[in-house]
Amino acid sequence: MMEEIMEEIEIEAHFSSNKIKPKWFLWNNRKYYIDKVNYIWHNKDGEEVIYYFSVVVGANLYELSFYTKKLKWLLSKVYIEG
Amino acid sequence: MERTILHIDMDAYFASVEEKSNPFLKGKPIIVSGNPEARTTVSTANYIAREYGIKAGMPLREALRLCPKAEVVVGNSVKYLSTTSKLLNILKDFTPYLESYSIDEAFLDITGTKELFGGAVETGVKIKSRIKEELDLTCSVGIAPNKLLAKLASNTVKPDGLTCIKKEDVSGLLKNLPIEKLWGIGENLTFKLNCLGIKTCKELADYSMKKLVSKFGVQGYILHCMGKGEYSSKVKPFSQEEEYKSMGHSYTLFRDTSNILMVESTLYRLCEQVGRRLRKDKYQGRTVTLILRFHDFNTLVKQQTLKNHINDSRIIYRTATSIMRTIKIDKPVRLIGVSVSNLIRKQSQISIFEEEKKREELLFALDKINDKFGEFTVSPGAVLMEKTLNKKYSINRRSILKDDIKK
Repeated sequence: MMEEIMEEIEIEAHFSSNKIKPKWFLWNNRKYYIDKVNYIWHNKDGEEVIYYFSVVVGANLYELSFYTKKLKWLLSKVYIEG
Repeated sequence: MERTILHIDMDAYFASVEEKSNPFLKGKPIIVSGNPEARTTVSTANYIAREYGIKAGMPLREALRLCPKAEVVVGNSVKYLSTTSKLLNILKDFTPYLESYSIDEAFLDITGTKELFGGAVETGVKIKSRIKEELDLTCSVGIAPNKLLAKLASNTVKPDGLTCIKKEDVSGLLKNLPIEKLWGIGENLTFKLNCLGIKTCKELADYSMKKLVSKFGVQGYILHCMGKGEYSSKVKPFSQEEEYKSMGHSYTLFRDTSNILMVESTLYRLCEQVGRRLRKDKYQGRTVTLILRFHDFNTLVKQQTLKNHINDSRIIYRTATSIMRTIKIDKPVRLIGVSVSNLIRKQSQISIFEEEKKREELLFALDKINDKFGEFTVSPGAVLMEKTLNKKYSINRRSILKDDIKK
């Protein structure tokens, strides 16, 4: 199941050819290097366009969100087995 | 000119999208449902879960009884809608005659464009490979001379199928085909037709059209044509704005309730949603319909037609509550729904009454705030009551569950 976190994170992401590719994120003073971006989707909340990224770090799954108007990245969810 | 219609049906759509976004689910039985804390049903299940007999619409509890090790994923409509918009962008490259039939189905009229891609079947193959390449999802494709047969074809081979029905094969194919296999013939209609001795499509086509019309009205004529594999409905171009006949919302409550406050606050929220949609699409309606489903699944539908066309959520709510007062609510309510019909495009006439003018200006300002900052950024206090009551219930339920575990 996915557990909601919703905490702001620092991130390195590459923007090229209309695509966003997150590389690593810093959460609780620990750097997580992203192995794979599984899925990307987006949503509109008012004028805010939010991009969501399902990413794999080692054997763990995280959901990151990018608020394009606020220019803010959040760690939105963490996958916990069971 | 014979038309070539293509029907795209995404395979176990929600479950497939969830599998792509969470590789740890790969190879496991997956059920996509609503919040498992509340009572909920299966939205969809992947093919592994279906092997256990799990079907869409089944209560989650029953599905888990059939397959206790299934992974339950709470559906994420945002994720699926975003994927559908990517899917439609792919399909638009093949024809302008594209009709998004549902979140995971679309019809394409490729009569005029198929030769650009090497023919009908080649177009289907190219669409499938683009979907696989860009979304990493599979779909089933049906190709036929009309929408009815294209839908029938896509259902023939699933998942990842491609089936073509040619005009010359139609009569042979329909000869012994049970009527319930046809799109639009559900359980009730099958029962009614079976009572007339009609079980196969051929029997439907051979049955007296006059008798069908006298029993089912205009639908009788459509049924007669369907029996012969004929269907006149055309694929609507994607650019064509849809004309709505009604707009409505319904909601199954977290639990059955006799608390009138809960019913009214949920109703207010639904009226807000309907009003917002009407104003957004510039519609006004005269008829307000209230739907109440009780715990025993008994459903009550009552409506009231007003003198003027409206789109103010408050008036929709007032009308709905006045309808509700005429109903004796003596058992717990399970579902609440409200809709507005008798729609016209909004007339841009300025009201001469000061109060009405002020109200219109207020609604305009509220809509602007919600457009900018998101739905329900500003909403009537009554709507907040629903959240408070749900929160109370959720806390109570969690503590009950914890107590149960302790015991």
